[in-house]
Amino acid sequence: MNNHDERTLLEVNGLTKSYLDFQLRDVNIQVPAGTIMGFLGRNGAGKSTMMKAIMDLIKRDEGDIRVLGMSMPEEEVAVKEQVGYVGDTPLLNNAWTMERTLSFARHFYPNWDQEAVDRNLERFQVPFDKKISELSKGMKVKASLILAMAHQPKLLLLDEPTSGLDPVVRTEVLELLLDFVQDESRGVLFSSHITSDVEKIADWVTVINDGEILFSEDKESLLDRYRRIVIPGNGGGKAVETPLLFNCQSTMGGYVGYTDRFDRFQKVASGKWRSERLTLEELFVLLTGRKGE
Amino acid sequence: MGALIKRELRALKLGNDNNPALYGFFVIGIPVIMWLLGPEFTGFYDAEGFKTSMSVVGMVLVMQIVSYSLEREEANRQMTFLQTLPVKKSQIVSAKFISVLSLSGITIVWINLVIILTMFISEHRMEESGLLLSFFSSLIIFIEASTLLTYFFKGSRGNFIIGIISIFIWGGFHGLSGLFLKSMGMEPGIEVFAVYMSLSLAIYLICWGLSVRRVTKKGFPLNKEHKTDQMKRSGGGAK
Repeated sequence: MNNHDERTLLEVNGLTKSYLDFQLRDVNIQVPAGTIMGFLGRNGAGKSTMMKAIMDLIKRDEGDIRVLGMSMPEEEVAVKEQVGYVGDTPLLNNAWTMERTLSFARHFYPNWDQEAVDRNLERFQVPFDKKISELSKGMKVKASLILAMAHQPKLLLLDEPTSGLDPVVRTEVLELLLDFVQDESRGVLFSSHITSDVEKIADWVTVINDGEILFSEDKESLLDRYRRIVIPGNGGGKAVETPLLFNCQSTMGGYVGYTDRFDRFQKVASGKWRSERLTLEELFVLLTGRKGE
Repeated sequence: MGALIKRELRALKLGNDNNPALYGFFVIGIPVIMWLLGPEFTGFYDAEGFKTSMSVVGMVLVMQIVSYSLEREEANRQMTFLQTLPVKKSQIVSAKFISVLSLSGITIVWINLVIILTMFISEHRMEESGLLLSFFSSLIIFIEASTLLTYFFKGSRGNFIIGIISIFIWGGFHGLSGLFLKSMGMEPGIEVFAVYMSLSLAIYLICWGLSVRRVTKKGFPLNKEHKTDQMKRSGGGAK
């Protein structure tokens, strides 16, 4: 627990993992307690690789991973007692029932909370005695979440849990996560390529593209910092020459560009212009698309 | 660890949720039937044929159960699931080796009991059976050692083929050592049984140790789904 900030649940420093055609490069992130961090990236950007490396499901090449100050994988048993993980595909045994799955898993956790399990089973109407193979995809995700939360973990690692779910189930899952972080000592790292889900519940946003972290920032300050700048008329040509704007395009009515330093832009910009706040989805497309251009 | 072993035994159909009548039939029913029919019943079974076929049945049974269990585990990504639990990877590997050794041990005892009982009841001499029993008993352990070693290095794909190759390796070794003993003018006795069993158990323990070492250092082998993910990624995705 050396030099560990009690408010930091997860610290990843310099994480690197190489495959033949893909590399996760020097990933650094921190998840503070009481936050939901949305981890955004396109398919194949490296979200699952990072999640699996944190859980030591795959071996990293380099880097340091600490959960609640404990080092992975050296203290993996103690770490996993404090972490709930839901993979991109449910890891439940299709031949088992939920009852059997839970009664097996409870042997491993000293903090197992049967009352919370029963409450969540009822809340989500997950059948106790049906084989997992007979459950719908949404039910399997809910069952996985109930299992991941049954031992009152401090940190939840969720790898695309809402992918492929209908909007009703997605909303239920998101509500559950919001309830989970009501206890300020807990946190969630939640990977997704569905930006609207992240926008709904995340306090913090990390974007990964092609194995590299583009940024990791508080959601509100991120959305404040980036703006679409619209300069009407033909006189905007000079204004778009400022280095504060990027992706400038002329349109029928003038110019459109983007800035990632809106406060600075406001101070130096002259003439007529107006700013538009971006949605997280627009920002995500702008940044991950821009990188590849 | 206890829960892990219990889980493995259940996956190998040795758990308390499996039909006791089935095991009752195998353990008690078959010897009784054999006794009623006699090993030379209508000439279908001679004593040697009976011993060999019982041994082969036991060996194939273990191979099939283990092979099927490993494939099903991989399809359900159960090794990944177990790694999300607060247990050491070495314990996951050890639970698998202990449970498969238990299944092999039970089958070996069963084969030997059935043969010995049937021979005894039918008043056949047991002296000649030693070599055959030692061969099949040690072979079962050797097959499972190589199957599990391959599983923890490469995954479940092709583990039945590994079993077949193991039969040839162990058969070749057994044949050569038998020829060597004969050339020395020695007749294989109970000590040969002990030597083969000890050797196969030593190989099993080595494979166990190697698997623990490999999994602790490099993790579990990627299952088919992980490989597909990687292929998808290299074929497009973020690039």
